[in-house]
Amino acid sequence: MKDDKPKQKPLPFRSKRRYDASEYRQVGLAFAIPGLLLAGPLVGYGLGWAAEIYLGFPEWVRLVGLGLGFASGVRESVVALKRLTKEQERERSRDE
Amino acid sequence: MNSRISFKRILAMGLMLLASCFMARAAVAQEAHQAAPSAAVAEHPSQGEEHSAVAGHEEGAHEEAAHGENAAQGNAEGGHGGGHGGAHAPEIPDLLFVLKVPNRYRVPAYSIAVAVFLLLLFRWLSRNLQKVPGRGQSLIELYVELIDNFVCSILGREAGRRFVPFVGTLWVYIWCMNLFCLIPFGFSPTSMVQQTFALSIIVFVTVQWTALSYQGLMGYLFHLAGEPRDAIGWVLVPLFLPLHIMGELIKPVSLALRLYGNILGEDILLGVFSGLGIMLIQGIGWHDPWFGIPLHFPLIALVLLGSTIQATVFAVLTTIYISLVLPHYEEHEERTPAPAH
Repeated sequence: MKDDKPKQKPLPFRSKRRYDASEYRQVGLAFAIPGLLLAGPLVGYGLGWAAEIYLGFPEWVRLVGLGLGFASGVRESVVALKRLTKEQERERSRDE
Repeated sequence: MNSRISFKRILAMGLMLLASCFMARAAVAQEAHQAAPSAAVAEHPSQGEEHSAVAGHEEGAHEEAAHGENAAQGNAEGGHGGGHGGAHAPEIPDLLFVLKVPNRYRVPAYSIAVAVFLLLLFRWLSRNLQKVPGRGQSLIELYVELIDNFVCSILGREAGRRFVPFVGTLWVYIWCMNLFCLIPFGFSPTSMVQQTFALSIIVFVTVQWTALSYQGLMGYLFHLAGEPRDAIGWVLVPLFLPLHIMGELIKPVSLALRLYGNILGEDILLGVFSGLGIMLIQGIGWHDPWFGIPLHFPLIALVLLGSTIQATVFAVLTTIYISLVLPHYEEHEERTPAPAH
């Protein structure tokens, strides 16, 4: 017997691929690292400059700020890298 | 999808080419405006090279000509010049530029235009909701589902649902602003540092407010102090406290700079190639052409890709920053079931 039901077309923008947020998280984390490394010294130097101009601290405060900013940027990058590694491990274990 | 070459598509292509010609013409008109600043540029030969046929921020340039002062000061009213030492970035002229509206109104005007456009679009798409969705409703449902799965996979179902509207709005708003430069006479507000910093300040306030509301004031301060567990930890608090505070400040700055830099780069790329199209026409002897060869067309794909990636990165990092201030965020992740499709 012939099936009279009209065939339902899938919507054109429906992807058959399984949605996986892990890839997006990994891309985001990888993109974050250079930004953090750049922004760290900038923020540190800016805070040192502000402390010097507005609070009357000596000039070397800028250098301290720069160093702290760099250290902070590296620390945030390490946090992002650790998380990225964890994401990859989770993905690998899921694939296995 | 239907891949036939229809009349509508040919018309759309024709309109795009026509728009490109108009843009190029506006660029040539703009070149005439730059005659005055070129005298001042002669005093700064290193900057002269960076002027292109489609360059320009009129106000900054005029100030430069009038005062002969530092270029950065000349661009103080806003514009791309503020970002790279006062040199004028080549860019495709937008509507407000052609109408000679001052630069300072560009970011608010275009960002409000994008917001109003999105508001109307989503109102229109979500009108008359049905159980069996039409195409517009399906599109919205697909988007909401994607964002919901994405945010909840990071934050957990319970906390994630609170931030789905925020992250979803952020993504679509940034994405549309990034792509606004592809509309003829449009302009990407995210290629200006004011806009990206405004967005990142919103993210910063949201993250800090979330931290305070979930952890309480003492828990928040304890987190900032590096969560010391023993005597050595407490001794190291004076070192870790400024590091953590600075780390919190770095996040929005890095978000803003990344978005600004990438979108500005895309805009400059389009501007340079548009200018090249005009120069090619001028090169064959037509000194005042009314159109340019649309050499920037292949780069539109790159802009589409770059804009989507940058909007996604902004949304991803916002969600991750929120997750980092939630208590036991790792447990949330482990508990969350894999999103099914």
